[in-house]
Amino acid sequence: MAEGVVSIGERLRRHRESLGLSQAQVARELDVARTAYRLWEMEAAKPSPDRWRLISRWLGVSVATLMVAEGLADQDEAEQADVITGRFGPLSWGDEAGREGGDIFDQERAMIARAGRDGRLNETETGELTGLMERAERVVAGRLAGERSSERASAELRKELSADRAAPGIARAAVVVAAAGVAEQALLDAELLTSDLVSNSVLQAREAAQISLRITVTDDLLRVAVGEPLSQGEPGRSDPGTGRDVTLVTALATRWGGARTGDEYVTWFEIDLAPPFA
Amino acid sequence: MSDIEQVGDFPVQITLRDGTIWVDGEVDLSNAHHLRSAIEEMGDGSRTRVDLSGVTFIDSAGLHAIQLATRSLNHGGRVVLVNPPSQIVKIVALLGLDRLPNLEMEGRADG
Repeated sequence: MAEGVVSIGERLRRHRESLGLSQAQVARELDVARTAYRLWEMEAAKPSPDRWRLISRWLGVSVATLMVAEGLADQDEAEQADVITGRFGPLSWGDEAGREGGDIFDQERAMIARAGRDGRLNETETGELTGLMERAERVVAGRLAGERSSERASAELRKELSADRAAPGIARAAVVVAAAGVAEQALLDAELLTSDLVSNSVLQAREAAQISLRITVTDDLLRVAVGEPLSQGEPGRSDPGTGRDVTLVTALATRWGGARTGDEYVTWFEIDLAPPFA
Repeated sequence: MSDIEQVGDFPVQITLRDGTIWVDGEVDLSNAHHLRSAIEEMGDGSRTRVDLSGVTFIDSAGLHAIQLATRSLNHGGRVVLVNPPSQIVKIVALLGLDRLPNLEMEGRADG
């Protein structure tokens, strides 16, 4: 049970680490941009089904196992499918299906049909495997339709960070989690600007200071605000942003600014998001 | 020679191989100083190749470290950034680092 529901992202990370490979190396292996691969491992994005064949080969698990990982099949029916396709030899079902055209579902259905015609599968087995694929395909289609019709769920995340050198990395991870599903370029730019803003705050902050991070994601906007404490002894320090290089935030953010808010100086940026499937 | 620095979940690996410094992972405030000293110590001071194809993230702190490292070069020396991913090419251009006389870009990684 526990092994069966491990997500694809988690499986990729574990397998990669067991082989001592970098994310960039595995991204090459799976023929995907390394930025996208990194998001898979962080579970901020899901590999589309047309990557599943390569992923299943690389992980050495069946497509049915990946379907369980993605909530497209239950454990029992996947095990049954593995027993049936396992008769074809350890990996030969996948190899043969992979030579078919189309996406993973087309390939599997073509493979099932051929194995049914030439008698390698009996009628019951053909029916079971076909049913499994059709149900999974419907769920995937339903999820896509849901994403198209509904607005992105808005998310708000607040986090306090210790002002140390690990803070930029922690802040980036928070942005990736909060903004999962946002267009890749917007996410990359937001990670960069967040990392820079938090780095600046860390370098300005006093020992043991806390930095506040507020991330807001709505249908059409990604906003990140970074607050650094202004202590009582610095009444004249109205703009910690003075003298900072603002080239990147000016170029990459749709809007940005900074202001004193209570006992904090808050620097923020916003990136407008294209509406989903506009 | 290899140096693995891990802070939180963000490791970077800096390796000298075939006369090139290979950087793998995420470069930020937590480890930028390692990149700087790697370039200063591993480079030959005249034409130091730094392969960035394995870099999944770099911010201003990381690029600033590279810029600082170029100051340790001999007169006429260069740092060559090899196969930078497209996001890095974009940031380098925005920051105007591609116009530095002692910093060169070579090739481009796909992702």
